Amino acid sequence: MSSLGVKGWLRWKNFILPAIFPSYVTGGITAAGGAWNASIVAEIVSYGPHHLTATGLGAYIAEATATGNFPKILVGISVMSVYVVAVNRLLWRRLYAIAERRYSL
Amino acid sequence: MSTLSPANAETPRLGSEILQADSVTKTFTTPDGHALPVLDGVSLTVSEGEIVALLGKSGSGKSTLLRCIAGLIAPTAGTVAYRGTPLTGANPGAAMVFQTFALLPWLTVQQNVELGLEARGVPEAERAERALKAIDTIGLDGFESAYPKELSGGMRQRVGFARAIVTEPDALLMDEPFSALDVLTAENLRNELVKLWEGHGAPVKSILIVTHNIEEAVLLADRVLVLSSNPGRIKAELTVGLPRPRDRHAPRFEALVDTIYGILTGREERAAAIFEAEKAGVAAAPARPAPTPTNTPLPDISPGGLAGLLEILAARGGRDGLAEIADDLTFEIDDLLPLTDAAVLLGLARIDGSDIEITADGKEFAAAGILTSKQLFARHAAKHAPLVRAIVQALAATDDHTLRAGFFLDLLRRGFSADEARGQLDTAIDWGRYGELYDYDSDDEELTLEPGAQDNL
Repeated sequence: MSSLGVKGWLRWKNFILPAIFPSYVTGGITAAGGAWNASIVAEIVSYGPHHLTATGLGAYIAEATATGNFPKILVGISVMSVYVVAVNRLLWRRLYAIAERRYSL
Repeated sequence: MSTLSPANAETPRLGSEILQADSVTKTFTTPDGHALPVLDGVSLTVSEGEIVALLGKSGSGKSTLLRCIAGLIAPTAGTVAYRGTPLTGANPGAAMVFQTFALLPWLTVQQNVELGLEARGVPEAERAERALKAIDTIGLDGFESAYPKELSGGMRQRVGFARAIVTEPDALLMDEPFSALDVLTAENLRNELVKLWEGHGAPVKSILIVTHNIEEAVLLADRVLVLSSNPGRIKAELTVGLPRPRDRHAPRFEALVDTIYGILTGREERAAAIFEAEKAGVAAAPARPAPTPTNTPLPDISPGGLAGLLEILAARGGRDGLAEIADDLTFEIDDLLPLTDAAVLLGLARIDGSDIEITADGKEFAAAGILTSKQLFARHAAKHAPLVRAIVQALAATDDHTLRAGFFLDLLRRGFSADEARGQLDTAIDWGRYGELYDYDSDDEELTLEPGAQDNL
């Protein structure tokens, strides 16, 4: 690239960003899974006498588990699964396919 | 030698100097802090209207020199100038063609070719026009919208050429552009390059090509600069002075190839001296110091390959031209020279001019059965190969005849990079195992002397 005098934004656009794209997508998939997992779990936090609850899917499942409401647990886990599969199919799989097709070395 | 002098050949009319390298020295530092000289005081000029070839064995620093001239790396000492102006970054008047093509796989042929123009701020319409013209010139029309992975190796290198000539550089720098291609494709591309050059179809004013292929250098270049190894210095400069397209079987062509073979093997001091005398300012080679493991590296070959070479030589009556042997085996010098170097090092053959001749020891080795040949190899290696000898001596001097490999690696790193030191030790281990001088335990990383091996010293 230096031999062609390609510098600045042109260098980022044509060289650096395409070159790191496949690794970025792989990293994104791994990190998104972990982040989503952590944010679900973090909706209910108990330490000592304190008990914090947020509104959301994680809290819904945790509450249903605590009260032993099996139909509610099933609904919560199903919604979570559908969401994960949908994000994977619609976003990550597509990016991964683009990375494989166009940006693999 | 007189038949080789270019006096009677037509001298090409040369224009102004485009590239000047003045006493370029490049020293790399190994991770453990040793200085590793790669180039030592190399000066050269490339003028308008000429093709210059830089020829050398692997490790002669020829690619490093080309990168210095391209301005991609800065020399440790000395200067590189483009039309008289010293470089401070990438050379503005040069374009590179790489051995591995170095195309961007996510850009189409046309986008790859246009990139250099885009970097120079050429407007889009003109960019497309010039790129298509370069693509046409180089014989790629119809492939503008293909991606590099859809193309064969030869077509990819054409893209490399198109990308280089599209900016109409004064100097085209080529780093072994044909060595990643198969033989026929390479020959075809070479011929097209010659046609473009002769027909002034290529918008370049000069070409500097790095190669390890002697015939390629003589086929293409007006001048051939031969580099010596470790560190790289210009050992000889030859003017080809043959009209293009050149006939590989013309007597003068073959004579030049033979001469260069002789110079590259490093033992034809006479020829080198003549050329060096012509080129004032190049110091004569100093007297050869006593061989040590660091100043006499082991050629990276297997004993089996060496035996093969000697058998071929014995079958050819004990003496033949290096170029003929290489030609018959379809070897390139990178393949053949380590073998001949090893044969000479071990005293099994000697180089005479551009011929190689088997010695009495070599005949005995070639004719011996497997067990005898192992004993003979052990004797010659322990006697003549400095590193093998040093290992046997060191092992014999210890109480339990065992030493860690790290000990030898540390010693070797005084003269080699870490990788080279490892390569040297691996070769020495291979030779020692073959000759049953010592064995190597790769789990413990220890060398152990075979009983009785010190008798070979």
